Amino acid sequence: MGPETGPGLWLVIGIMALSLVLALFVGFRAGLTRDRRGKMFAFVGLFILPVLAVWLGFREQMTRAESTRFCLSCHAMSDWGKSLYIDDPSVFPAVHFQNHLIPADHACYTCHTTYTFFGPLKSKIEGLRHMYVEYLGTIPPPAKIKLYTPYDNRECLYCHGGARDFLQVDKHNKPAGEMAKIMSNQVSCMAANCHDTIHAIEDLKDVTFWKRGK
Amino acid sequence: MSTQPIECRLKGAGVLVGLGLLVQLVSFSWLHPLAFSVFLVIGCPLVAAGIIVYLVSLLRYHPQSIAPPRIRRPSSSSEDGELDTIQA
Repeated sequence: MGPETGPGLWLVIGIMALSLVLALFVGFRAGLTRDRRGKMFAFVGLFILPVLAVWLGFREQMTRAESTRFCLSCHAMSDWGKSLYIDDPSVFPAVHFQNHLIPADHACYTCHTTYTFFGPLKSKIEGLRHMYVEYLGTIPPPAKIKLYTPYDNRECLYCHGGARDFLQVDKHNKPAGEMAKIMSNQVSCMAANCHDTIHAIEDLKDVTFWKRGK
Repeated sequence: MSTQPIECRLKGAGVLVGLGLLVQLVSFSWLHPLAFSVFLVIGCPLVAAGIIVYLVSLLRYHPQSIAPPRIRRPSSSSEDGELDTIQA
């Protein structure tokens, strides 16, 4: 098990296992429920604990679904995983990943979630759409895989907004009013001549890769 | 057959909840979108079905073997308020 698992997972598994045993016990010893204590026991075993176990399990699955290993476990994403190791400071996903500007074990999710109230849920629903394409649809070639909607500056500004090293960059302030346009998503961070080299999937054959420890 | 219907329903509920939780537990052994889907699409509905069967069995439960209520009312044969049994 990887870094996306921890003591929380074992607690959840323990509660689920306890709930499983109790549910089967109540089911096969239903005669116990004739008295008051038995009825309470059945209520705990068939309602309280299963609801708790499913809720905790769901939360744990949602957390696991945010891990880099989870996103890259589909074959179609392998090139995107490789692009995080490109040894080139102009490829900014690689710079963010290699310098731990984003958590390395949640690299994909950190940049590709939507930082709104229902953002995490929206990301999971989009993930189900990815799965549909992976197993029931036609996977496009890597160069043709695009985002469903244009990337919103909000996701960059979630970390960079208000940061000194973002505010003081000349290009973010000239011409006058540029910063306001960036903040309101009128000018994309990925516009031409800005941060326009993203995952560089087309160039993977010609680049060198960073190796951990070097 | 001596098994009461509620006991059958409780058994069904227990099996459904147990099966759902087992599927969910197995889905944790594998870090993959398919495991997430198995948890969500198979595990959750099984547990939910089990809980619903249990709750419905509670709502439909009509105890047959409970003794009829005893209320105090004047007996037709005496004036001193003997206990009478009202047959359901």
